[in-house]
Amino acid sequence: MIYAKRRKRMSTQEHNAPIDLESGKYVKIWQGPQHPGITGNMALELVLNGDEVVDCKTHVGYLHRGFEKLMERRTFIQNFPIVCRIAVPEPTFNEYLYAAAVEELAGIESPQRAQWLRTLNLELMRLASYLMWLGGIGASFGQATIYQWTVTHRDYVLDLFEEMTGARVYHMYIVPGGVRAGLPEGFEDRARAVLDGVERLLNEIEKVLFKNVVFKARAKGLGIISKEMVDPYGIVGPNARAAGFTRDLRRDEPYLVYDQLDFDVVTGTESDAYARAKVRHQEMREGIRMMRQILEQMPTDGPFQAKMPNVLHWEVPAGETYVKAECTRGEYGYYLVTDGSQYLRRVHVRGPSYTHAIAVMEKLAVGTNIADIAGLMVSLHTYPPEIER
Amino acid sequence: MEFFIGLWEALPDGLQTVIWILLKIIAIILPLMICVAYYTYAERKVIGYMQVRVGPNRVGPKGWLQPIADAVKLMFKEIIIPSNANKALFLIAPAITLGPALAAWAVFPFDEELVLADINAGLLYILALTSVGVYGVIIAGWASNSKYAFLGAMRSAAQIVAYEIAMGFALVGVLVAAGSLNLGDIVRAQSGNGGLFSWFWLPLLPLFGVYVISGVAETNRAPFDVAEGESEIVAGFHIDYSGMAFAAFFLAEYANMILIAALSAIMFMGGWLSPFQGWPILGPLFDWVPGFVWLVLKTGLFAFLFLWLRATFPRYRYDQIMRLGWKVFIPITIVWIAVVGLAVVYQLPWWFD
Amino acid sequence: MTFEKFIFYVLAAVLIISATMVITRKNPVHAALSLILAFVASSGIWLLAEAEFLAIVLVLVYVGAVMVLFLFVLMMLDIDVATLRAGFIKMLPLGILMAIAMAAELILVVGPENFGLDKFAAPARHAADYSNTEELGGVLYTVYMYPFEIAAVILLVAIIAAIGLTMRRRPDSKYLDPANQVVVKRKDRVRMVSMDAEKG
Repeated sequence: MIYAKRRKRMSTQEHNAPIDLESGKYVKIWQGPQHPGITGNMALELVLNGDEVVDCKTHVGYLHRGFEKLMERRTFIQNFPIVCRIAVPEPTFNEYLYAAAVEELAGIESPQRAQWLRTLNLELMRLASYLMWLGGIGASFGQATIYQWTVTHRDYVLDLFEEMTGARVYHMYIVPGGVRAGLPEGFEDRARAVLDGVERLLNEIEKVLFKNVVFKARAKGLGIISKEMVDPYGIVGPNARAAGFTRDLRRDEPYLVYDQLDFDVVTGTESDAYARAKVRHQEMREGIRMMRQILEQMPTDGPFQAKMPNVLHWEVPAGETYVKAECTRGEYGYYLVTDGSQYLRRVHVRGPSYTHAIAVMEKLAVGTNIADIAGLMVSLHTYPPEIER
Repeated sequence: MEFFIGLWEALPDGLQTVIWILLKIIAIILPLMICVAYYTYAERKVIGYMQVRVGPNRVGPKGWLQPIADAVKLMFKEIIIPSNANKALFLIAPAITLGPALAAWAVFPFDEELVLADINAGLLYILALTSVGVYGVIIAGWASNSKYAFLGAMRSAAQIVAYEIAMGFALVGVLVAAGSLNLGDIVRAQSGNGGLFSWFWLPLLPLFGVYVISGVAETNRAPFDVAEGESEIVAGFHIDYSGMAFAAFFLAEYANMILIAALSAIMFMGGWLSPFQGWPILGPLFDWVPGFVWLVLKTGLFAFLFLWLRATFPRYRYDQIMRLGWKVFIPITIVWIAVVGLAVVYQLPWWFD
Repeated sequence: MTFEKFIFYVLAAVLIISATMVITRKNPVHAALSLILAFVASSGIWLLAEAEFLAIVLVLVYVGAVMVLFLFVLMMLDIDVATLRAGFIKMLPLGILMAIAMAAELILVVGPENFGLDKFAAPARHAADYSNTEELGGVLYTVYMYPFEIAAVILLVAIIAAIGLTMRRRPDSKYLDPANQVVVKRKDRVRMVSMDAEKG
């Protein structure tokens, strides 16, 4: 009885006491900026009590390349080769958003066929990005085989990109007024074959990863995002959907041709690492379903580029706009201000990684085990290059 | 020729014994080292194919010389000693890891006759030596003066102590069933007319499972490789090691894996016995196969299992490993030792009569 | 000098040197490692005396488990040598007194008049198939059954008490029960919602 009381008092004291690194009870350890458990270059400053993380600070800034400032000194067409470098594993979303924002300001309407092609391109990108991520969640929990499998299939998707756009990673395919090219002959069949392969892979991963006892024991209950946390922390995309929200910009505010496609919104009941992985796993199937519809319904002829002014001396009328789209990590937005000159006045990129990797990570990491930090970090799906731009 | 025989006989008796034992040791260690080298090659190939890759295929025909190229590379690399590391302990740690991993083979029976030291307490000897191997890990982690290495060493120490108990209890079941601590006698106790059904894996099935899983944990292999957990503490205890010092840890890990595989074959799968022993047609058909071949095949089976596990399992978390060891395995083994004890006392037919 | 005697003297020298190092080394980790060396050397000496069970168990239990846990604790402690040596001069007379008393006691008890070579005959050599382990087990479970069992129960009580004293629940710990975790099904986590797109 007495012991129980004293124990309780001790533990609450311990809990509330400020962390004194000199006391010898804590170890400070850095994960990153170069660490196999961190995606990209960012650092976590962890304070450990035994194996338990008692404090987590994120450090970003290793990848700041000043894109927003760079874009103010380049003409509208010159910005294309750099926007896609903002988020390395999924450049297409940046291209689309920038093109859509410029089009809106310049009053250009892209033709119908270009919209279908853009949707196909974006969905392929989503698939490639999710494939890489799914491998990452396997690798961060110590299952390297999944990573090799998904990277193999991502490569097949990149082959499709190469056929479609001429480039594997940085395509610069979506340009203001439309897209650069139509589909090559026989692309649909090859695309279907790749999608079938990915679907088979997803079934396999379901068996190897999601039904694995060890993965369940590790990921279930790890880093729970409660429903109350979603709005104050600005959590969007699959992370919010896993918590039970049905928020999907493709459904709520359809852009491109998403309103003509039939797909389900995947939501979860409790946003832990397992649910976040499962939601994305399921979303890949929905994406494949969507792409099959696109390949079926897409108009095969007609213009894929609107009539454009001379882009070398392109003066976009003054104005401002915010364009958003649902990227793999949630709402992704471009805010553009123009002043009627050849240059942009101001750009701001709103990426979901910022809140997820910094505020949410710092909150969720406390109380977890050091072994789970890598899995937690990956399960939030963040890209450090996109945080800092 | 006669000159050499004369030279040999001129040596004192004691020296002759020592040289003879040394030659025997070399005869065990040398093939073992080649096995270890090609086990790493097999691992990369097997896991490669499981991961839809080809694996090493550049050095030599079909990549057969890859392990040798690796060894040469590691030999010529500089051993970097971190500043503020405890130099003596830092350098002695790989040797402490490798020593017991090789010494344990002394009592291992390769055949009915072929054993270096046929001692009565062979099982205890092996248990003692495998438990000494943990010092290399602990000392390496402490002497490196790195937090990652230290965390790895702490994890490894706790894990090996926990799983040693489960492993020891599983072996207690074996020695109760066999009535001997001598490895050769344990194999002989498994011979019977039922072929592979006379072996201990069937009556001691829970202990067999516990032993194999504890063996994986004891050798710090996936899914229990938290001591080097790549995505957590980078490489754990050997994060600061390079060159041959690192290679020693590597060799010890693989030598230990082969040892655990071979021991599983001895304790539960009838060692050098034929799986068709005593069967009507198949039994005589396979009589010509030497026992050593069966032992190698059985060992290979378990060695492959270790690679298979590594390719298909995510890593356990440290506290979950502890839970599995203390709260699941130890109760299972204790209960089954009681069952085996009763079976031996009442001479359960087929195995213990 | 026979080969056996040579080995004995080597092991004895290692034992004495390492035992001395246990008390002279300033770094507690070095002291613990020396103690391990002392254990190994003494187990070698026991092997020479044909007590192979005791020798192996000494390595298995003390070296393989107990000292691992010792090291585990010592490595995590940040021992400040300066504070430990603060009262050295003040306590020196008392310390010397204690040391003399202990040495005298030891000499009186294990001196040659009680444990001299003439008091004990050299142990008889046994045949190669003689099993020390079997003999020990037989005696332990028949003649000394009750003392053995009582010692075991005392140890069990000590284990339970140690766990009871150190166990504490942390309300802020996010510990999860793996048994609950592994029963999770897909439908517990994912819900498919079919909705119409909002037009406009």
